[in-house]
Amino acid sequence: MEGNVVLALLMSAAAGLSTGIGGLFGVFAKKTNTTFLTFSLGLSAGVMVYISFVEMMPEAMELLSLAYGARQGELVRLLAFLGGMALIAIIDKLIPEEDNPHEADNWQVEEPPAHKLKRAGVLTALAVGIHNFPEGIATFVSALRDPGMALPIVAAIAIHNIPEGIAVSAPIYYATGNRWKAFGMSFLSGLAEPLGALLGYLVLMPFMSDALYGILYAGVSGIMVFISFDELLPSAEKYGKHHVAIAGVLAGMAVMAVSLLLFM
Amino acid sequence: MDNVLLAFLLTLLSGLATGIGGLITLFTKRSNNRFLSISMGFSAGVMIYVSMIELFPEANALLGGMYGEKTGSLYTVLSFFAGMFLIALIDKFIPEDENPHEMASCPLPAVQNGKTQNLKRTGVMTAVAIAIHNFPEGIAAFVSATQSLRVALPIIIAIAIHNIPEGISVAMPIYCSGGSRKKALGYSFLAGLSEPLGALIGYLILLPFMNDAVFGILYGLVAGIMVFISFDELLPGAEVYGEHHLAIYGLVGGMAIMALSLWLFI
Repeated sequence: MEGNVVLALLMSAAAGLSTGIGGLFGVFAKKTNTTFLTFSLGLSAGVMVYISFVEMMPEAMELLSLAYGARQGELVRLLAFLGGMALIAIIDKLIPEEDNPHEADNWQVEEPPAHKLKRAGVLTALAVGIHNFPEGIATFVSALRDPGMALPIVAAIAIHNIPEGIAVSAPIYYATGNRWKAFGMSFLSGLAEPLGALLGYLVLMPFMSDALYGILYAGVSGIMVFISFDELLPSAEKYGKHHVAIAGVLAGMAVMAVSLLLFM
Repeated sequence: MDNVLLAFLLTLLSGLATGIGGLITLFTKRSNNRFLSISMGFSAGVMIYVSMIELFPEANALLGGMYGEKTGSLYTVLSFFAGMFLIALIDKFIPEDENPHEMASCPLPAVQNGKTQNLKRTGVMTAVAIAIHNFPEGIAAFVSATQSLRVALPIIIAIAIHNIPEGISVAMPIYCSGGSRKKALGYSFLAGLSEPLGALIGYLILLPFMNDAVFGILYGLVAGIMVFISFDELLPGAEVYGEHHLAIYGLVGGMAIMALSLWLFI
């Protein structure tokens, strides 16, 4: 069990710190490549929607119907799914529009003044941090129960953290010209992920049961589906490359489908 | 035989929902962007939820029963993606502005400046495009209705709902270009008629070969088709009207209603 906990923590740390990869992109790509960004946002959406519906929701169903019976289990599952959506919707509502991490850098369309850019970057880092918190709990919880199943989740969260890292580092870099600072901030914002995992461990562990896992799975599915539709897809569409975005979604789903089949 | 008749009737009903869209157009003076955003988001939510929560696992169960778990999942995944590519191909062959899932709206300033002739043509072409789209949908609805009403009802509801904006997109340009109400409504109804036509052909061609494996593959295909339409057309369409939060509330609402109705049928 102890080894599992460490592994689960490591996995959520890896998922979280991929914001740093995005940070590197943001710092070293002279101009953000909007085609690449569109594709990767679509890809993240495809990955998250597919894994939520094809892997986590059926898993939640199984766990919850064992605990509560088919009919009540299904009710609990759909409430948890909608509850996850409501949770992330509320978080999104509380974060001011321009600082929302899942909306990738609109900064570069208008090129606002430097101090505004910097503020946007720092606020984005904060917002990304808050967002990553429940994601960390999600990764940790699933890795703890079954590392094999958690791998795709870790991959999905890592992928979608990349554009978040870009969203943090690019404005800071453009505003300050300081690569280290920009990169550091994006890295820091990913740290909330293992932090969430740790907190999840300390708070949830004593109550862990199949039923709670089922509820968490369905809740996390709701979170991931909502993020995909509310933030990732509209951001991908914003650059006007609709077909690139759709290709990204399909590729994300296909990658997830293949990796799930291989893990069977 | 009763089953076949019932399945056919249900398909007919879901197809003729385009007529409801036509009616809505005639009774709202200006196209209501907020309403359009919500309703497109709503259909996307319904279609994605029913595809992924109901059809996909059902296909998995049927194909798993035939071929074993691992091979069955492979076939499910393959038919899911085949459905996506099928509809992507159809979309590719229909010129952009006549694509039925992208809605036309009357008050666009660009089309108000006397281009009525073009607008009318758009409406008629849209009707043709929708008819082509509805064909495989009709097969899907019919096939599932002959199998089990529990699976079929959500599909039929989903198809009916998403036919409403399609009907709007037929009737709107015809009506706005000065066409008569009757004509606008008539075309929107006609476009929906290919739904039961698809059902009829599905019945004549597919029914002799029906077994669990064919059902499973069809479910996977239909799931892929509906998910692709949602991502490719409905959601971007909903966003076009600029009411992002309404589109999302529509989506969540669609999922919630589907989830509840599936739960009630358990």
